[in-house]
Amino acid sequence: MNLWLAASLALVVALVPCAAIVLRGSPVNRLVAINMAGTITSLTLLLLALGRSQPSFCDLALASAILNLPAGLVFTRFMERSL
Amino acid sequence: MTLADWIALGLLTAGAAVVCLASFGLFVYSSALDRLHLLSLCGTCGLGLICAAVCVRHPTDQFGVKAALLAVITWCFAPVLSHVQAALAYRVRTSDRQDVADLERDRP
Repeated sequence: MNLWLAASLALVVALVPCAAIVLRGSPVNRLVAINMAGTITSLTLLLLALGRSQPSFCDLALASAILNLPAGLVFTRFMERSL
Repeated sequence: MTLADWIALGLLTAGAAVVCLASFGLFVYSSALDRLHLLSLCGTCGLGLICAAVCVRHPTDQFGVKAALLAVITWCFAPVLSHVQAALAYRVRTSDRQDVADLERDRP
């Protein structure tokens, strides 16, 4: 295991609190946790690409980062209607 | 190891530590508005340190370029999301408070 994979493993561990908040928090707190999980997922994919020396995997990280904005906006808009 | 490797190692360690700190800080704070500060810490400082580590280690190839692009995209989008979510959190928090409702009603 190289350094990049070790760092990506640490970031996967950092997803655990986000999952806990998503499972047990209030609706707005869940939204914040999902947003943080999206950021951490993008970083994890980037570090996995480096650890595996696969440049094409970086595109997944970029796609995840780009899709994070519309996903968050849509979630927020629907939650505004329901609350 | 070269000097660039050591710098990348330091930046990567610091970035991963900041991201883990921000993530586990979700357990410390209970309010959504407080937790949004941790989200900003993760999305700016943590992401910036990790992408800087990648750019230092791979300055010219695809990894460095895509890491820089990832940082720019996230730094552009994160304030928009934080603003929208903070507005929602504020509205939810104040919707059941009578004093805030009175202030809104008495505003000229």
